[in-house]
Formats: sequence, C-alpha cells, structure tokens
Amino acid sequence: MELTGNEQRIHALFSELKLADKRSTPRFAAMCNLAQSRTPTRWQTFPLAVTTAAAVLVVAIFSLWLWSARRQQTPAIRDVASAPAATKGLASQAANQPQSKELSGRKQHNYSRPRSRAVRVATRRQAAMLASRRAPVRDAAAIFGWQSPTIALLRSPGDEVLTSLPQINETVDELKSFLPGRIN
Amino acid sequence: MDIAELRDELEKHHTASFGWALSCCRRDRVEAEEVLQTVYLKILEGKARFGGEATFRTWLFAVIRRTAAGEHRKGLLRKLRFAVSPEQVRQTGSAADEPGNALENSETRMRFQRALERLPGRQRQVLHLVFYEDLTLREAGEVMGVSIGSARQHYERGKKRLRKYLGQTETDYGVNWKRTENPRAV
Repeated sequence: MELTGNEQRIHALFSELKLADKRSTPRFAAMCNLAQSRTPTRWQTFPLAVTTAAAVLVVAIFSLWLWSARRQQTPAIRDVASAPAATKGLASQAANQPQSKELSGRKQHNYSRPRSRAVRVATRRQAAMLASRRAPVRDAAAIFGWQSPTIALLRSPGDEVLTSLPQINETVDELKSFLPGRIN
Repeated sequence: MDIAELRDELEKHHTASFGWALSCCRRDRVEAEEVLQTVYLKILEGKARFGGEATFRTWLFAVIRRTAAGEHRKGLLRKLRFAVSPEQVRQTGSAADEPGNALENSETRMRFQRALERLPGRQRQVLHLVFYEDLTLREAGEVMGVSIGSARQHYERGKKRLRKYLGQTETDYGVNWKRTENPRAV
C-alpha cells in the first residue's frame, strides 16, 4: 500500500508508538509462565452444562413437590363433593351451582393436569365453602332426630283416639256412637 | 500444530500481539497483559484452535480481539455488581497516566495517543492494524470480522477524524503557548 502525505505522517506516529511499546513489552516466557500458573476462577471450574443440569434438577424437584401437594389435596375435595346423606340436599344444591359444576367436571378429568393459579384458588375456596356448610347441616339433622328420654311416660292406651281423626268414609252408625246422651 | 510449534509461533508474534492487545484494551497495560495471558492459555490448552483458513497472525489477532471484548464485558459487569473504589481505579488506570511513564513519553506521542483514544473502536482498530501491524485492509477486515468494504470505510473515516483531532490538538497547544507567553497576543 502506497502512503500519501497524511498517511506517512500517521505511519510515522504509529512507528514511534510501536517503538515505545516494544521497549515496555513483557518477556514472552514470563507471560507464558504466568498464564500457565494462573488458577482458574470458581466460575471457570463449573462449566455451563453442570450449572444448567443443576438448575433443571432443582426445578424438577420443586415441580414434584408441588404435584404431590396437589395429590394430597385432591381426596379432600372428593370427600366434600360426596357428602353424607344428611348434607345431600345442600351438597346437591351446591353441586348445581356453576362453580361446583366446573369442579365436578374437572374431577371426571385428570387431576394431574396442570391448572392455572386462579382455578386452583377457586377450587380451594369451593372446598372450604362446602366444608363450612357441612357442620350446620349435620347439627340440623341431629336436632331433627332428637327424642326426649321421658317420652315413654307420656304414652297411654287411648293415645290413638286422641291423636287420630275419624275417617270420612265411616258408616253413619259408627258416627252416631260418638254422639253424647243418645241411647241406641 | 503441536504445543512446541504453537509456542514458537506465539513467541514470534509476541511483540505485535502485545501492541494489538494494548490497542484493544484502550492502552490499558494491566488489562492488555491479562488478555494476552488468557489468549496464550486458550491456545496452549487447545480451547482456541488454529484451523489454517487464514495466516497464523491474522487468526491470533482475531482471538486477541474477541478475548479483549469478552474481558471488557466482564469488567463492565463487575463494575455494575460492585462499586469500584478509587484505589481500584488508580490500580487499573492506564500506564500512560503514571507519572514515570508520562515523563518517558514524548509530547507528540502523548497527543497522538489522546487523539487515538477519542476515535471510535472500529476506526482505531483498523488504523492500528494497517499502520502499526502493517496488515492489508483485507487482513484487517478478517481480524475484525468485517468485510473489506466495511474495513475500508472505517479506515477512511478513521484517518479523516484522526487528522482532524491532531490538527485540533496542535491548534490548542499553539493557543495555549501564546496565552502563557503573551496573554495580550490572543
């Protein structure tokens, strides 16, 4: 490459710089020894592949833990959905609601399918609501079936007459027998 | 190439490599030495292999450029992560800033270095490769990883800008001299 005036001047300046650099250049052997004696840093000792594998392992363990936690939660929801006979009415009422429809629909499907956080929260809320309804229904059923322990003392042979009404299709003679002061 | 041959080649180009490393590290001597050590380690350990597509010098310069860029990025990350103390800044300062070296350097060379530092990276590199290392524009393009057309453009722009900066500094020096000698003259 032929150099013009300005280029020659730049070349001369670079040559001067080169000379100065040459004087201060460290020796090759010393630099090579320094390079070979340099201990690798902690990050260099861990290759990227190992770091990535460790990260994947951590994510897998966390996912497994989440999945098992959800598996434990699922039977509780099933129990609530199939409530006892006393709570059947309320349970069926709740089942008619759109949210519980969604829940039962999901129950038929695979539970292990990943759901969004919003759906999980809604399911949890639904389960809590059904659980809170179970207690009063159970109490109401218990009250309804309660009997006094002294009820046997109140019974008498004429109880049937006092507690029953004459039937409409009974004969006139039988009805007359009820009339007071009449001698047949 | 075996290790002995590699060592011979590296030794042959050591001075030129150091000059190129200095240019890639903006004349920071400490950083340039570190970069060159890393490059030698890479080559001798076989992490960087010479394929024979280009000349050994061109390939070596390309490795130095890439390593210097990587070290520069790491340095920026370190600066972002930790606040750099003034002592560290003083330690990592360029050799030209040291008082002993400043005395050693001639005034013209200092002005030239300042003008070079003001140039954009690509322009500074292409000028260094052509004028300092005596490479052709094609070789300079190979080292920088750009086409010959792009290298030529950086070269022309760099020359123009350097001439302008050198002219500016010369004028500044003239004005300063006149002011100190005879304040009423300006």
